[in-house]
Amino acid sequence: MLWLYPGFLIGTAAVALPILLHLFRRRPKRTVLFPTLRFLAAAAPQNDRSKRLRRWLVLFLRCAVLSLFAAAFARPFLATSKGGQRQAFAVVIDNSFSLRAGRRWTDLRTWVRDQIRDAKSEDTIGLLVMAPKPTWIAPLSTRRDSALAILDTLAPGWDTAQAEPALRLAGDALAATAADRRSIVYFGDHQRVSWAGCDFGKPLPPGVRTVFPDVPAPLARQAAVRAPVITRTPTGFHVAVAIENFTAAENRTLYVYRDGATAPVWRQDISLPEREIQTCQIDLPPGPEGVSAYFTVSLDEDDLPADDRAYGVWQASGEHPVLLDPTPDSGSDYVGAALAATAGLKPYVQVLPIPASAWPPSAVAVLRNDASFSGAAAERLTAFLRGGGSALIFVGGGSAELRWLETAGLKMRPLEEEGDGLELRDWAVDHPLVAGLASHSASTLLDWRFRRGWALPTDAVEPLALWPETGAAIGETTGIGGRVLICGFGSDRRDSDWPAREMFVPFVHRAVTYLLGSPTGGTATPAQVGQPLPLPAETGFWRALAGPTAAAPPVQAGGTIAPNAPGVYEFSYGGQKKLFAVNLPPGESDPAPWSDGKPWRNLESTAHMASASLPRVPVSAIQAEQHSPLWWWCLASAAVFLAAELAIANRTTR
Amino acid sequence: MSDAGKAAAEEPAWSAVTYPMRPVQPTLARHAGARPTPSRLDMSELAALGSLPLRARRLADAVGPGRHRSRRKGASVEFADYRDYQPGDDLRRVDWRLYGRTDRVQIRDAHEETPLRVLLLLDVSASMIYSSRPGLLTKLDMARSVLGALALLVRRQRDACGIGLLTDNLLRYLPPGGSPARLRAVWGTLDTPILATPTALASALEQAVAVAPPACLFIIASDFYEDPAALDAVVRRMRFERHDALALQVIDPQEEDFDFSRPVEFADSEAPARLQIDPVAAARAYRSAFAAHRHALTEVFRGSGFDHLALRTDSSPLAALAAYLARRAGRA
Repeated sequence: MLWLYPGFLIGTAAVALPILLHLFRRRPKRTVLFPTLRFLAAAAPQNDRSKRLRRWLVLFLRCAVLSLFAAAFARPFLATSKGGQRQAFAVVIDNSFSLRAGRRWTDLRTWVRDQIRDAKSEDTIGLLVMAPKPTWIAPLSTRRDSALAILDTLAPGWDTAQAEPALRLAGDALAATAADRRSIVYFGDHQRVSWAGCDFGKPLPPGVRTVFPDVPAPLARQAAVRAPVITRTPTGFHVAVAIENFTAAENRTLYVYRDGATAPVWRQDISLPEREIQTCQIDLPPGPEGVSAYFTVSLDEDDLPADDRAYGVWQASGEHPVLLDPTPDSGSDYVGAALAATAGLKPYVQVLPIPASAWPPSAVAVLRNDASFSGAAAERLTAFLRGGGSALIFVGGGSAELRWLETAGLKMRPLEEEGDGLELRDWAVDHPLVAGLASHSASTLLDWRFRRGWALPTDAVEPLALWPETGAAIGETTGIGGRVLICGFGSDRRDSDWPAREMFVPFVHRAVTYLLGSPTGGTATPAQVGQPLPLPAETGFWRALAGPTAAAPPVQAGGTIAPNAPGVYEFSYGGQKKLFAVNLPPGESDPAPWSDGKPWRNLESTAHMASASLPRVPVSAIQAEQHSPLWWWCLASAAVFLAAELAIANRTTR
Repeated sequence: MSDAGKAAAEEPAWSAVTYPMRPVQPTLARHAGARPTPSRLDMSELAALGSLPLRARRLADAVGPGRHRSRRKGASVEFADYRDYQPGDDLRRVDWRLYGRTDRVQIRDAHEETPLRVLLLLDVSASMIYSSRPGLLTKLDMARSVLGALALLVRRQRDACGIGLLTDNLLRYLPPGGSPARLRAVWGTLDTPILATPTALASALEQAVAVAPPACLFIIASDFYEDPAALDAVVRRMRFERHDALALQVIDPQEEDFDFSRPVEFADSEAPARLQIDPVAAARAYRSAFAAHRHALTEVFRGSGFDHLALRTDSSPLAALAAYLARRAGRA
């Protein structure tokens, strides 16, 4: 017999009341000397014996009524599974690349299997990986063998991992189960970076216990190669690479490979000081001519070979044309000023006026004048976009502009300021453009305030930011042809002080860069594993030229992509090729464990499960209870017993 | 309006302690030939009278002087009837004057003046020592008072009076006698302190019947907590031996009404038995059983031509005295 809501069984304690009433009922305190009991004896025996029987019967009936009521509310149902306590295990796996060190991964896997060795067929097991974000690779289920098979085939990734979000997610999931024993089994190396920022004072849900492995033995040799910076020199290439040593000083050998060659183009013995960063400046010969080249910088292997290799790319870049229409009024040209201010940054752009002939499709058009949307200019704009061109449009509210946008399926809705003005909110921070803006400080996304604006239909664009009420303030669309970024506000100071604010120039620069299809920051800041990379809007093929996934077949991609392994990647589209260097996140290379005790033990709540949380009822239990509605029988029996109790109790007191 | 009616009209309503004399049972009234004069008797006053002789005299005075006439015929001065001479008759009883006038030899019969032998039997068992509330006589005291008054009445009528105390046997016995000293002896016996003993009334009555002189009037004051069947045997023996009997069943009002309101523990006055019951719940059954017992007693005594009278200790006992007088008149 199982109970759907066993908490109601506390109500059975109410049987103490009739028992107390029975034990402490009013008894005669006075003794009367009576001439004879012969006539009482005639009535009393049945009076006394039957009354005593009735009293016990009434007591039984009262206890039964109360118990049955409590049982009915507790919703009993017949057990469909085997007896014993049910367990639920959530294995939280630190799949960061630091687990690639030595035998850490296999040892932890063996340890985890030992922890769940006693799991029975009705017990639930789930696997949750930490990186790149907490994800159930095997949701909590009774398919134990399937989960173990996944665990056996799982390998550590190339990302860094944070323990707390995954532990909280696993804790919440376990708390929602109906298992009697809920355990989080931690599959990790207690690396300091994985525990950094964890709020150890905030316990997991009550009733969830934690099982942590011991801190692994420290690594004897560990150094990491950081992302190299490749620059073209008149004599060839210059490679600047930093090597961070996390262990004792030692001598290592540094190799540089070019374009996937197996033979190094450079070899150097270096001396790494203890726990310091050593920077190497390497001049390489020019090698074969070409528009691009990529380099692999590696050390001889240590205890964690994953970060002993880093990748760099050099790519020849010309000046990209940016077509800028005239400012709509005679005031200052803030957009032009912004483009001029960032002219020295890669990718280099050449600002050109809107031509009277067809616009080159490789250009980016920056439009803010109503004249650009009327007459022949509008036709050229449409043709330009359909030909694959990209555009950044600041909506000024001109009739031709709004008409052209409506023709393109973008019916703009004017907005007027209310109170403190129209402030942008709900930024799409995972968008490459927005992520680039917020990469250094999220404050660049604050206080975008306008006196007037136009709301873009959210169903026609991908919103990058929203207006306070409804509609997108900044949206991206490829529905017209090429990639178009539309800002529902003007680029001059008629509607806002925004063009004079510090975030204006970076926004214009990054928007143009984004539309040009170049990674923000150029080759000087190679991407990291897990970071989204902006790709040209056209669909192309993405493949790894070097790195762990070099043997993987090309995949179709476009827009953005987030590589999950380091290496050099090539994106081929429309007869063009672009190279991307992706390296490991640097913090993960430090193998130092958490040094301040074992605070993760505090995550286990000391609150009692039953008192602190309502039991969560699994659907299977509800279904089983519905198939055997014993509560109805409990209620019916209680009603019958209650009627009997009333009848007998009345006769007892008569 | 009669004098009694006027007195009733002038009297205030009955108080809790003032009771009218109960009417005599019709059968007894027929024998008496006249209703006793209604009188008032204050039961609290009676209870306040400490000694038995005082109570007895108060009661006897309340019922008035009793008179009776013997219905036996014999050698007496009062003419009764003539009958033919038969051989063996005492020639001194022949009415020679009648013979001289009519030549018939007739025997002159006269009413025989015979003294009545009254044997008072008092149940002194423990169950008689019961009074349900202060101010009421115990059943024993009530019985003593009534029997004492009856002894006085008997003495005033120059009848013989005896006494017997009944427990589980005949505890003490004084045969009927007519001397003035006997009255004091009877009162002294009635006033004898007693030990609480259980009752075996039928057995004790058997002993009394066995030692009593012929043709006695047994006046039995008891609560009659005895098996009616056992009593029936001894009552039939009384009848067989030409005794007369008047049964006075002394009852405390609580014994009859049984109006206890709260649960109490009842202890038997004659046995170690105790009983915890809800008296409210048991009252109906108790009253029914008590009434059945009383009815059975009545049947037992009336079945033998005797009288059975219930005396409540909260009611006037004059009915008992009147019943005696009626019985005496019937015997005369």
